[in-house]
Amino acid sequence: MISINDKVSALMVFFLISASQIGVGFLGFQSIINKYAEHDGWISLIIASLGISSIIWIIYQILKNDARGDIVAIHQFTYGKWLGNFLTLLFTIYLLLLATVVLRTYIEIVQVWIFPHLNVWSFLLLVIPLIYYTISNQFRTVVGVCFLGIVYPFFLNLTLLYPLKYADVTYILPVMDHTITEIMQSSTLAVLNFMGISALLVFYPFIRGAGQSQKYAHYGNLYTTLTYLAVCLIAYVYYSQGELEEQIWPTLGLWKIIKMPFMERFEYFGIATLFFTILPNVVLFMWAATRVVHRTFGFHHKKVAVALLGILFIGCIVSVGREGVNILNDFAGKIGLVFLFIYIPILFTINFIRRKVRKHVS
Amino acid sequence: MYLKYIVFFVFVTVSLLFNFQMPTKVIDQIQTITVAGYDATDQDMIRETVVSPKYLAEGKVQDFIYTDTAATVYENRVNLNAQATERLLNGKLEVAFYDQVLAEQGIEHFVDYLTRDPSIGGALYLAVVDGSARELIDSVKTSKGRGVFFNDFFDHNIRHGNLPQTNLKQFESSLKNETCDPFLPMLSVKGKKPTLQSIAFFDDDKYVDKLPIRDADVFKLLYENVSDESYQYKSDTYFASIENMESDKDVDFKAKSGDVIINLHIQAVIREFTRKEPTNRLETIEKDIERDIEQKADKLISRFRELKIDPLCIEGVVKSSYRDYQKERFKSVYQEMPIHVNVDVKITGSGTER
Repeated sequence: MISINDKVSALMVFFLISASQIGVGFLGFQSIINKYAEHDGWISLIIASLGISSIIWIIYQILKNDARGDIVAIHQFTYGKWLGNFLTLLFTIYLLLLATVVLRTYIEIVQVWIFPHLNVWSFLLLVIPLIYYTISNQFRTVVGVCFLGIVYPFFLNLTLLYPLKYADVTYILPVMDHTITEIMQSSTLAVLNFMGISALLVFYPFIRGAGQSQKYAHYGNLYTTLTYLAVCLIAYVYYSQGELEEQIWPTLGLWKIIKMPFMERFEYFGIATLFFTILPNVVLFMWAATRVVHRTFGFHHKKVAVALLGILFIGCIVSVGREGVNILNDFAGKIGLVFLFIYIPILFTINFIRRKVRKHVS
Repeated sequence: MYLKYIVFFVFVTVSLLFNFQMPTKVIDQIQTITVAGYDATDQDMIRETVVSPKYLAEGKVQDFIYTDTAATVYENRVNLNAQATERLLNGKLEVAFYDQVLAEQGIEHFVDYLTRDPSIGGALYLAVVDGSARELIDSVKTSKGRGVFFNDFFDHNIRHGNLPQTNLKQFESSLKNETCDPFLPMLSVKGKKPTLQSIAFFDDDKYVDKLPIRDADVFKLLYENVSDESYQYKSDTYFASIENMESDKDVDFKAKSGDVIINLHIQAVIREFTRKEPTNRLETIEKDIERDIEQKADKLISRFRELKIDPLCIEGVVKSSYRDYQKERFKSVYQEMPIHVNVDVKITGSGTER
């Protein structure tokens, strides 16, 4: 059982959820969701966020009814020991993939904007001790990083006012100029930026009064949505459609116009600060993966952490160049979509039936 | 337990050791380019001229100017580096000039190389040169360095002069926007000094026409909201000059009749009047100026229509307010669609005298 000292208050769910959602997708999602809905892409964002909110509700419904309340217990209860553990293993791989995508994309951004000659592996050697330090001990450390990951980069939101000088509202008018299908297609792409909530399946038992924390999860999702919406709308009125298609990282591109007397390029400062939004992502997913393996197979938590960090290290080195990172991103996106919107509802249904049957028998 | 710290220490040390070998850009060992000029030469070659400042004692700047010819910008960079004492880098680029021949051939390629480079910001000024960019750069006499000189030069002309807001970001936006055509300032050497001569209009990325800068005030009013401008009215009976002009522009598309209506609200104070007591004649002056601006605007718009260019982004307005917008249909009606300009001038003061 998890001691009360290891648990965190329900309010922290807000920070955990938003910190896990806002990651590298934040830097370039505008040109991705632009694909089908074009200038109506921001509507897709709202739809995606509503979808995620309902998934959060489903996850809470699943977790509420289990005494130990994490995915390992749920899987074992629903599918039995063998199949359950196998699916848990797949879930671990998914979490590892998410962590790899986030870290590798961030390194790519550093390579493109700041240090073109940066060695991926030697940069990882700097970061991995930090990740190990955070995940090897208590969950509270992870929560602390997530909290700072929201609070510390908050001032970057102010820099979004700068590009408004060049805004042209006609770029996003007329509103709702695309069919519902196009907007829905774009929202499936927008969902990728909210994927982090799957960590909720693991850290749920670490929350004091977990059942009552659902509203904070929704608030967290709301905060993410508002942040995304602001960045999205500003990028949409700042860039013309033709420009947006060619940009890889529209959010970073917004900083190109900022020129201060004491700072020629703001990006260097911004990208360095963004490390604090990237770190909670990586740390939370790695911690969740470690925790799940530890729970399923009973290995020592710290040893699992070392092994998984080894996998993370290799995963980041293997994917090379823009192409490699892109493939990684697409792959993670597709799996995430299937996991959240197909697997979670299925799990909910089977779990529900299973519970009713069990009750009947006893 | 110690093992953990030893491993951490080794990791960090190895990482720092290997990243230590990364190529560095030490400020004393590089030359930052502040101005770049491109001229077309024969045989499809480009002559590139770059200016790199060297800061001497007592706030004095000495500009180094390098010129060479090659087929591409980066091939040129190799040639220029062969002349420079230190490595030339783009990070501080303030202005880029293109001569008229290059502008006529299309400058999309040059803009692409500027926007692709993460070390170049969006606030960079682009300009066309009537004549050779090399001559223009040579003609500058300044103690603050040519980069700062040109930066200030464009800056004050945009803030208080007839030049509308323009920079790399805005040029790129209109270039890649299908409903708009870009424009750039055009400079020339006049009396051995660089002079803002006109505004160059582009069809897509190709230079097609220019408008003298003294007539550009109407274009600026139609293009954006101005905050500190002046306007000169001239007629056979009197001259008047209004200052501190603030304007508010809104463009409407009436889908039913297919009309475009540009409403301009202007507030200003009168500063120069060739007759007596302007306060008693404010209404006539306002009316005269309104009519004058409207006439000039109509002329300007019909000129754009003849050239089939749309620097005022009228197509963007139509597209954003009309759901049945089709590109081909707009193209076919653009020449003769009714575009009305309504100007409303309010003179709010006359200085310290009646």
